[in-house]
Amino acid sequence: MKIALIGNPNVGKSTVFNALTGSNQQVGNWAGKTVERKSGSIHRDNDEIELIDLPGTYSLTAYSQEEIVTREYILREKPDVVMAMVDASNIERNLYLVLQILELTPRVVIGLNMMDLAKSAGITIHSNRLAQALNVPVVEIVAAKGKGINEFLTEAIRVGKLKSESVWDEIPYPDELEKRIQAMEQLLTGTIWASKYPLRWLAIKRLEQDPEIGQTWQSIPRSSQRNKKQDPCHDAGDPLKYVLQESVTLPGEELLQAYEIEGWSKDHFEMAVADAKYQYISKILPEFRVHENSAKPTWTDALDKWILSPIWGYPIMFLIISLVFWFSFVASAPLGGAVSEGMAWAAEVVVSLLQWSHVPEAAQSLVRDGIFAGVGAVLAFVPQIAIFFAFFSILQDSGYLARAAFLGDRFMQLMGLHGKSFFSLVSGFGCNVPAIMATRTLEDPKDRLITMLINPLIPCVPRLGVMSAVVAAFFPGSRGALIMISLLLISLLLVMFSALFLRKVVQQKERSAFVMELPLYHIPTLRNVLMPTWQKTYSFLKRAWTFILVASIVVWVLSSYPQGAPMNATWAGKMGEGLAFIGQPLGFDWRIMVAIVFGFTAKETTLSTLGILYGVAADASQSIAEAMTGAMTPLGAYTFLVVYMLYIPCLASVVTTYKESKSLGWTSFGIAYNLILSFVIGWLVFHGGKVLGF
Amino acid sequence: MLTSIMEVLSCKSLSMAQLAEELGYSVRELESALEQMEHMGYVRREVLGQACSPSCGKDPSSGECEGCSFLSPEGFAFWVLTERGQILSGQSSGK
Ligand SMILES: Nc1nc2c(ncn2[C@@H]2O[C@H](COP(=O)(O)OP(=O)(O)O)[C@@H](O)[C@H]2O)c(=O)[nH]1
Repeated sequence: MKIALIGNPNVGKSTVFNALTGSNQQVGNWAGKTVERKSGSIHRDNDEIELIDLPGTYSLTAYSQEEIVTREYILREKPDVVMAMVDASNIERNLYLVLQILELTPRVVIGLNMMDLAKSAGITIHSNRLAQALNVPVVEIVAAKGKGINEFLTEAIRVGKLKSESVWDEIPYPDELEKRIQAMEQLLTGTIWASKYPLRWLAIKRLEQDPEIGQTWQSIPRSSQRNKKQDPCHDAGDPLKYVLQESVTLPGEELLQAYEIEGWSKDHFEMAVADAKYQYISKILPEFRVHENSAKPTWTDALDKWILSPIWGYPIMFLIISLVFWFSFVASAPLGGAVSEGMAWAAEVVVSLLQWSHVPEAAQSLVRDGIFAGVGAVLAFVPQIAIFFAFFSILQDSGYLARAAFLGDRFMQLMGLHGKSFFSLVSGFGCNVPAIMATRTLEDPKDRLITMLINPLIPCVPRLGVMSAVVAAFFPGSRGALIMISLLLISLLLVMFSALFLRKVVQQKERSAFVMELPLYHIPTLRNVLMPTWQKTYSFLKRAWTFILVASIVVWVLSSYPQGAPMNATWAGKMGEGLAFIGQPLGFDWRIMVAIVFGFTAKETTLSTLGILYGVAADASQSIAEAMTGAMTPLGAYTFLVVYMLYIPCLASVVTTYKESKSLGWTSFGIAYNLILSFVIGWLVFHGGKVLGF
Repeated sequence: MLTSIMEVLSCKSLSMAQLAEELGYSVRELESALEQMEHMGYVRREVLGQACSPSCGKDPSSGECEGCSFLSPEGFAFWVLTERGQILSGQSSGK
């Protein structure tokens, strides 16, 4: 007797196979396929049984070798009975395979495995009712514990010996489809194909234009295989080999063409047939499955009713983001102050040590006005940045960030961009470089290009950190949170505007939609919040000690030489003066222009440069924040923030844009677009603010 | 069920739960249907985010990006129609 063991991957097939065959196993490959073939022999009472472990598959279409092997085995070798293993905890998908097996042979016994997993998930499957629904025997097993395996085999042997075959109600197909299947059946009746395959199955496969139907494979007897090649590594357990003998087209070509004209392509047939099976499963499921907590809505569902609501979702999002910024500012203010004071104190101690050891004046100045002013300016805002990171991690770990991204898709619709673009944009809040790379998943090259070009407008976390630092200096307290939100709104509005504008420039086609998997809400764990917060803060600190240190030294040199010259006559001063004509309309003095230029390398450098350039001018007792606030009006600072947020993110992002777009033209366009946009918006803000009396 | 998923996927973006509500199936059923459709080549599951640029490298212990400073905040998983799926749903809507 020949018995085949079939099931989805990971249903526990190997466990059952091993339990039944023990050491009597032979392993080889299926002819011409890289799929393992396992068979074993079992003696049971007077029966000699050959058990074949067919490869794990989800369906019996012709999409993978596993599927073809499984299908061909059932059709050609005609096992006496099929043992179909089903995962009780994921029964929908598993029954899909069972329905397909039933189309090929009615001699099936179902082994309902993973009952323990199903039970712990609150799922009860009534095996007797399942048996009724499909009209096949069902045996409950827990393969991992060896329970029910023998009963499974006993039942299979019983069915294998039956003289008559049970019939099961065929899956009802919609009339439109049924009509066409029957027409094809008529054409195929009486052909040699109909003697090889079940007629209905053959007709459906013909309609789906299944590539493997119509191929004849010939089996080579074992003896001639041996003679052909004596391969010492060849596994003796491979009892059969097939060779492709001929491949012919089945009747019905004209009918297929006629259907094609009617709008029924092979894909349509395939989809309609699969659809009918899934609907059938969905219909019979309630007959045998009881899901204890399926009716009860989870609190994720309850929360999502509000959070994803098209009306309430946006105010809630606004509220949450406002809270995050408010906490980042109010909570961090004293900490930031303490770090600033600590830095000033450390600078004094170090400098007096240097004085005491008679280090040259220039070196003292480098340490005080270069390193401490520059790196210190960045470090003073570490508490703030760390708190912001912590909140960001909370949003992420709680599952809210994914929802915010999901809500953002609606904006994308307004802009006519692919929904997926939004995910690239959201990634931009972390770092623009990987975000630009994430556009790779957009198939449409124009979609990609637009998304790449607007991505720099999203302020990345380091940029947000510097911005929040400047905001904290100029707009202390809860006002700062409002300022940050207004900046973010400007950035989002410009992203929308730019997408619309670039769509005209690039001329891109319609967007498409998606279904998103949202994580369940959960209370963020301390570890999941503290770890990323620390990693990001550490990464920020590391840059401060390496990149920003070097930049600070360069800026110090530029702002100190020629020696003894007044600040505006140093190299940095001259450089700033050359750029002043650009900055003047926005009320920027030369220092800001120099800081902006240095910001091209990395955005934090802007802060250290400002620290040096203002710190040098101010007297030593002043903190950097105080020095800056003395030199700029709040409106000037806001204008600076706008420009700072919008002009190109950093050198790395430009290089990435070039690498990804492979176009120097578009990369230059992107840089120019960001620069022009940032200054134009800056000009509007500055003059608009003046008119409004700020 | 599969066809109605395709229809929705060709016109609007939803979350899994919203899709389940709209079509009247459970999320479990939808997932298994989507997986099958992916297997047949009509839809594709994509995960966005969680990328480091090749030049910046990953810290082996923490998995965070190094050099380009920050790992993108999150991996977002969603299902979209493949080109083949788009052709199919385009034909059905024209039918
Ligand atoms: N909880 C549980 N796990 C099982 C059961 N049967 C098998 N497993 C486990 O499921 C995993 C996959 O089993 P395996 O036999 O390799 O599956 P195959 O891919 O179908 O061959 C293994 O880790 C088994 O230990 C069961 O009834 N309950």
